Amino acid sequence: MKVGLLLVAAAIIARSQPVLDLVLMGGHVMDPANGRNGTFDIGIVEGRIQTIAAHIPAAYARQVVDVSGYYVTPGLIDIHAHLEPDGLAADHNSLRNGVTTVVDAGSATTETISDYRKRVVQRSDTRVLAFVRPGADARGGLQQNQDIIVGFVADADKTLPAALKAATETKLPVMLDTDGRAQPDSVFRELRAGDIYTNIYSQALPPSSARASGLLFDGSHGGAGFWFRIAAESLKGGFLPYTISTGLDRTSALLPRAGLANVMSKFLALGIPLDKIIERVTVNPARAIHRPELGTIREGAEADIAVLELQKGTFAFLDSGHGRLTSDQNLHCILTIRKGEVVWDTYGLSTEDWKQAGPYSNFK
Amino acid sequence: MKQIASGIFWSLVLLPWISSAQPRYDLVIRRGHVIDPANGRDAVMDIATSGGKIVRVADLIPANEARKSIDATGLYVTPGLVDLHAHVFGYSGAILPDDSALPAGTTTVVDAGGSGWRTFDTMKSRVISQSLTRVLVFLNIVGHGMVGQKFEDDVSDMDPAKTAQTIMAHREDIVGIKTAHFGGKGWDAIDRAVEAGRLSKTPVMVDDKILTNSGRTTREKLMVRLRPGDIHTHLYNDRQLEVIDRFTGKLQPWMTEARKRGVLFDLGHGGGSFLWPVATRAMAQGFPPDTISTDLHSSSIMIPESDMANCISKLMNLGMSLQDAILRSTVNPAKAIGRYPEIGTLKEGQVADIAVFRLKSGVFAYKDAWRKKLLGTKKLECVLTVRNGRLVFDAEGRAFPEWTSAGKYEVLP
Repeated sequence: MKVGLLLVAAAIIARSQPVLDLVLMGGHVMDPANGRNGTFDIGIVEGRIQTIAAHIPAAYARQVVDVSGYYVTPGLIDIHAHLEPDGLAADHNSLRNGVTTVVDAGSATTETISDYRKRVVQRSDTRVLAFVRPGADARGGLQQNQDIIVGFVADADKTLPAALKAATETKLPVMLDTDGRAQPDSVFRELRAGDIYTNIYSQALPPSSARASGLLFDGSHGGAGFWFRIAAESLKGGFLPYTISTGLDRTSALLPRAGLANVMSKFLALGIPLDKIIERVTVNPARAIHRPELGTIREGAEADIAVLELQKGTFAFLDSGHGRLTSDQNLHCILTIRKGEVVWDTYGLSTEDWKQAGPYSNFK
Repeated sequence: MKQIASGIFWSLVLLPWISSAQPRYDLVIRRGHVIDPANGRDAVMDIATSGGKIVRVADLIPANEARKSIDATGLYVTPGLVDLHAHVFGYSGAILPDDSALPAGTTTVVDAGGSGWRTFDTMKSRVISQSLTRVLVFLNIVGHGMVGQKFEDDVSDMDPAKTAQTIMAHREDIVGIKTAHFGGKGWDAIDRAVEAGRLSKTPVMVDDKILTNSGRTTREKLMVRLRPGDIHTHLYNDRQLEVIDRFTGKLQPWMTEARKRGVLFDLGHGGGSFLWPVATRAMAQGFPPDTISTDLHSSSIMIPESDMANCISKLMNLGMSLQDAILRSTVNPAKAIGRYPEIGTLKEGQVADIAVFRLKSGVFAYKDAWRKKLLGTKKLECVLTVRNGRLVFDAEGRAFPEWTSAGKYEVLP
């Protein structure tokens, strides 16, 4: 950290001008991947994290954004969403929630993934990755698309064997996304350590034998996936999911409007501390999809960052059955950086007052 | 005799109890400040709906007369907003409307030229019939719709007859014509759109590039080429329509003349079409938009955050009253497309499209197309939306019970 700062200082002395494109100043950084939980400044150059330090002088930066009073985290990872071509759009549902990486579950197969790349991945600023349904040729489909395929998805015990076969051939994990439908216990014997079982709050909890097996549990929401009575009991019993996600679909994009900030707020309302929640939307999902370069604020990493505000007041949350939970806290995303660019900034922290800007556009 | 009389007496006494056992309304929204410009309402009132329609608006409707009662104390209740300019098909930034419009209190969007006569059927099956939001259409004069400069410059695909034919075959969905982004010289695009408008008896919405060598001027467009009732959009943009003289800061004289003529001016905020230097000067010189609209697309809802509630908020911070803003977001757009009073009002018998808003005080940053901010003191936020009598958005959980008191529930209605 100190070496980085010295290099920056040396560069400035050599060039006599700001070296960092952007500095996020004074935020409470929560970065479990690197064990950081305290006040740090973050410097960004050309879309990458250049330095993280206790204090970066403002003179080193072309632009300083004051984020004191807010939490600064790696861009969040939403490991489970449904973003079909011509369906829900990724960006406003993700980036407005601090999500810079979203993983679609099952909109594409190994055969249709190239089409999916054109119609969804390339049209989104959010990084869109995919659990795909296995097609005829798992290895072939993977060949050109290793950058976006993170595993295979099955929707029931009947489709699980094909997904497991493809996953074993390609050394990738499987996600079982049953959209809340109960499954026979046999699935827990077939799923392997490192596979992901989602929607754990839609039905009765998985058997305790399954919980110790290395299987990764995803606390998701979606239209039918999240019930306070199931989640509250499960969390009170001390069982935390490995990841937290939205399971976003057309129902949960509206009522309740369960973007990732809303889902995280529900866990907060059910008594889970913030740092444990952040772990489950950054370092843990990154590990689950074998992408350790994501979910982290590390020198050299792509600058994907979320700035979150923990609001105090009276807030009401609805579950999939529209039961209400009232809480005195709400977590929402106020600023998102994707590849070093500010893409969401609802408080205008990175923007200039128009009257101070002088003439702009075509005005003289 | 006495027993019969007693029986009749007690039946009469108990009658209200018996009849109230069956709630006669589906939903009642109570104690909200109703703003319904069409019916001259601007007061605390209760609204009851039944079978997807508004059935009663009155000073006091008891909660137990409805299956569901929502307390709107301290909130504003308006007709569902009508967004005259959105992109939900065709255009590269188009997004499905439901998860952007409904949470902003917008129950009707008008797609501004995403489809042309060649692609309308696809739009109907892929977007219109799959959306909870009511989607109406300005059909692009370009047969292929708004699918790129190459197509939008192609005059040979601007067929007034075919465009008008498609409109007349789909009057329930198509309300007018759009011409946009024409980069060529002369008036062909606008003239052909207006011709289609004449044939189909519908208005034209125009988004025009006034390039240096285009052979077009704003003045001629507004005073000659467009008809009364035609709509010019992207009002507070300074690239395409000269509202403000960029050297003197004065409102251009043809703006007032065109308004007197009956040309309508639509905000069309978008990602690139709202500038504080233009908006502040225009509002200060008495030139608000006739209709408030968002130009909804994938980038306009990011940094600019231009949903209907925020567009209204921006104008309120420039001095427009809430009542006036609601008029320009409901009645005016509904009239512009010939759909008044079926939409844009809270009239008994009309569809139950209702929005509930909280008006917040504080400090709020509003960004323009150049990411320059204006700090405002007011913000209108949608907290609840009813579309076709059905609750579709409820940010504060007003319509539902605490989960601990609801027993073991499936989906609570």
